[in-house]
Amino acid sequence: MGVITRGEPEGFVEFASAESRPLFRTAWLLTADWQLSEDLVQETLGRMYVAWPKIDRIDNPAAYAQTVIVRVFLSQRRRRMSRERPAAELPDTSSRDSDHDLEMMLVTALAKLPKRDRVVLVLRYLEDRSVEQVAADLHRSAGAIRTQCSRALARLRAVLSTDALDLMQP
Amino acid sequence: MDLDQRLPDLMNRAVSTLDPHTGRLVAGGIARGKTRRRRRYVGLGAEVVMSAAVLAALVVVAMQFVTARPHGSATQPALAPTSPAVPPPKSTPVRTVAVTPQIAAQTLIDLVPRYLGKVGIDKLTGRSAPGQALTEVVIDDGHGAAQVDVAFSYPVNGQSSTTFVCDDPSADKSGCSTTADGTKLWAQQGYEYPADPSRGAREWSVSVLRPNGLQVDLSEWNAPAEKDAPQTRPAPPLTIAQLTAIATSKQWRATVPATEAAKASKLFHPDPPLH
Repeated sequence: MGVITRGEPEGFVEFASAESRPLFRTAWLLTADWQLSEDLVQETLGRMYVAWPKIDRIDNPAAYAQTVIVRVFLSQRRRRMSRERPAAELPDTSSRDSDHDLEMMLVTALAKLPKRDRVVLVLRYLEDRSVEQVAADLHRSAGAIRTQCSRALARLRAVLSTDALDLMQP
Repeated sequence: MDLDQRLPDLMNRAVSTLDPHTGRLVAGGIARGKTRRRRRYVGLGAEVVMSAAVLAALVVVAMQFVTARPHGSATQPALAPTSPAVPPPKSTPVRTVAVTPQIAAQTLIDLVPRYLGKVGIDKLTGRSAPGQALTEVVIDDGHGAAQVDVAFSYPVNGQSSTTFVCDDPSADKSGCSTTADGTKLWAQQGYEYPADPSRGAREWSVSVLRPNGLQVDLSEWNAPAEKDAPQTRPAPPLTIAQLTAIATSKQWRATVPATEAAKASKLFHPDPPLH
């Protein structure tokens, strides 16, 4: 079903249409839950909508939206801890090989990490942001981000099953 | 190979097959943006509780109106003159002012009882913004307290705002239409949290944009607050038809007599205006 929009701020619908998929991917790795991911993306786009009249002051709106989504995630998770329900499995996909198994294990393992670990790993490895960028995004020092990233990787390694680690070997 | 070296590729492949409904995401984002913008204008945190005297006076007014107007009637009353139709002398023109948040609240309070009968007013607040009067009222018709918001907009320097998402798949129902005189109507029955309706209240909304640029945005919930409040009733108090009737009322005016604004100013002290 298409979306008919009239009179929306210039360029916003195009921006939201282009960025909703990348935002959803980030949200999926953060939540491992389809519904929560949709909620997160819509909340992020809602905040971008409000900020849109001043969007020309932002160098990279797409990157800014990614920052907004992790901040929304961190604030929402604090309110919804009792409602956490990580998805038991990934959505349907055509590939059913070992790579797919590994991807599924990764998402499941990420969902078991503390929320800040997930955010740091997603920003560093999915968004490919530098330590300094992540530090700026999360209002923390670069040193704190390096430490957290290192610990998050260690936790992820501990959570991933031996099978998963074996699958990673070349 | 180390985990950190494999992670970028693994993460990208883990999300590469995801195929979200982008239309729903965009529509939901716009809807939330509009709600967020309206909520920011109105200022949820600054609740102004009416004095008992003012509340009693409003209830009396509402009851008087109900006596004169059957419950459920959707027709607008003819404005009967209270004095002989003698044109005012030209030397004393009526001074008018821009609509205020209190006038918007008074207009809503005047109109709602036509459809719900006697209603109690639990809370009133509001503020102004360039080209807008915004108010938030919590009413109780005896079936549960419910928040009703109004954003009344009028053109400033020839500019008006028009923000309609005519087809929002995240809502139960939504749609747009245009009347013969060019008035645009938008209505939606949705949720505060469209992605997870069970988390919050139902939100029903109507927007009316007249050809002259006047716009009335009405929203209501089945709870006394948009968020973080228990639902008090199965559905918001007014039907979409009733919301539409209220929003299309000719009582919504961009300017009002100064005396009327002064009288309404006693309803509540508005939050600081937005610029």
